[in-house]
Amino acid sequence: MALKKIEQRKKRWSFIILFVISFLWLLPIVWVISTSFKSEAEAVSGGLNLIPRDFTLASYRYIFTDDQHNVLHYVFNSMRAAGLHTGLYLVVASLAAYAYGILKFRGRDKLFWALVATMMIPVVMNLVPLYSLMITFQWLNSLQALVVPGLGGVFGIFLLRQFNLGIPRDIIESAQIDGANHFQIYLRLILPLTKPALVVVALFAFMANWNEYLWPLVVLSDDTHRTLPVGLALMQGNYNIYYSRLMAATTVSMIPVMALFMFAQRYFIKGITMTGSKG
Amino acid sequence: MEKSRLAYFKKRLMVVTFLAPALIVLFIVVFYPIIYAVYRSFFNWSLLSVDQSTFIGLQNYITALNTPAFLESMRVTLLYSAGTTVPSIALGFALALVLNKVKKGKAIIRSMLLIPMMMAPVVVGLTWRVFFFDSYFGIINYVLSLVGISGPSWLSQGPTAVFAIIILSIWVWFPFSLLVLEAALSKLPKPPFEAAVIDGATPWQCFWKITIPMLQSPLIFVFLLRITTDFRNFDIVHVMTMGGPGRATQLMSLYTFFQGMRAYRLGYANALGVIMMIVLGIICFVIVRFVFKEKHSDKSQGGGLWADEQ
Repeated sequence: MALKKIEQRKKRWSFIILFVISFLWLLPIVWVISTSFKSEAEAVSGGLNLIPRDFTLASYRYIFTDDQHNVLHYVFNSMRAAGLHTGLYLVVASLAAYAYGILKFRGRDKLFWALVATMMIPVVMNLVPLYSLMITFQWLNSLQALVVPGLGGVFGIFLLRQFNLGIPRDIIESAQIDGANHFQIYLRLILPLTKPALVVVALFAFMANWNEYLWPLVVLSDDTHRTLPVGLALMQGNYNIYYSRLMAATTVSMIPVMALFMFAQRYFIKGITMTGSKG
Repeated sequence: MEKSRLAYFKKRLMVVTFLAPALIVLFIVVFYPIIYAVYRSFFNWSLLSVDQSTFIGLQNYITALNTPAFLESMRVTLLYSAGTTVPSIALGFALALVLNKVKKGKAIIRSMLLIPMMMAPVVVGLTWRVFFFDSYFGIINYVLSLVGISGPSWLSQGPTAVFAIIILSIWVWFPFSLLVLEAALSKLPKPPFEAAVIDGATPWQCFWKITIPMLQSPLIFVFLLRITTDFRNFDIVHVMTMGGPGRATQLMSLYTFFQGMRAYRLGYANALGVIMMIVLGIICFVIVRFVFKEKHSDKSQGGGLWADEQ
């Protein structure tokens, strides 16, 4: 009985310790959000108050109506690019994962690990040749340049393959006996079964594209398609004293990903833990 | 005979159709650029000179290895990667052991810890630069001033700037190690631990003799993911310090970027990329092979990194 009590107390303390750490971990973000509601004078004056003394939406009003660096414009660009990218990536990755996880062919696993090895290639190394490729395709300053190169990411294929490997073979075999071909199995059986994994992959793909900085910085030279991270970095120069505005823009940039995360939270954790425990 | 050949052909075609979209994209955006980059690294290729394609053999590599700025960037990169990878795995592991004890409220903690990872690296770099390390407005110096210490101007001195980017990277990435390792911990079978306790093993012995060996493959996974991202990191450092002050935080990726996309020495930048890839490959190989002692051919233990290949 006493032992059980000690055990319980241990559990409670573990939770308290972790909760405090997680809270400290989030303080910077709370800070960002709170500063975005402060007046510029208060933001600059420093201090540790998390609740703004004079609560104001002035910074938001400014960044939404500014002509030179309009945040809504960047949000729209980022949404469009990330949305399109995510849709295409789901198709490409789920097809490939079907081949790597369900179909059987010689050299399958070797080919797969060769693919995984590409995760080691430095991004900066691809930069120059990809850039010249974009010139050849005349894709500089275009939506394609934002959407297509990221499709070469292997992470989604990896994750979906792990899920596919976990699907019992007899389900697939009995579908085959019933006369279904591979495309039917893919569409009617595998896609519905791997829905949680697809949600995770979609979230990762969206996040990666939404947060991408280096590549848009290189391929976009004007404001037409400029995405949020690049816009934010530019604002930093522009607003170098306007902390509150910068933080308002930062807050806006976090909202879509947070919203998606709330929606897909359960799957997200599951997806992360899957990748770690298998392969 | 004819029929089985047709069936074989159809099967091949099926594999090809499923793989085609991914392989075409991968070829265009990954394999072709790599081959092209390696090829062009042997040329004197600069957008600023008239002569754009003289074959110069290994000259770019020789130049790189004789350039102090590059060697320094390699040193900074190694320091940064080690300083980020090792503590984030150690810290992640330690807290994973604690989280594993928790039953209620696990979900809250997991979601809270995931949030920094979802923020754009640029945003992270910006906010930390402004709010934490700024010598006038920064919170860190404000807190220090409360206890009577006047803090350094973090980002304008070499050592503190490196420290700052390391701390920031740990902030972003340690939760990931925690979550993966915790998930692996929660799936460990109980019997070996019970048996060990009966045999009188201390918790410490249990940890080193049972937990660590059984977590081999998730540990390798976390390690590889951490080292490959840290070693190639660009965004956070670019917005936070631009590689400065001087060259103190100029990682190899930043140096390569400046040489290629700012100075337009493309051939040279390609050679730098190849060197980076080789160094990273060697590090991964050496650590997986000699620290974790994992061998590709050794599948006898089961449940290893390549277990599902069997």
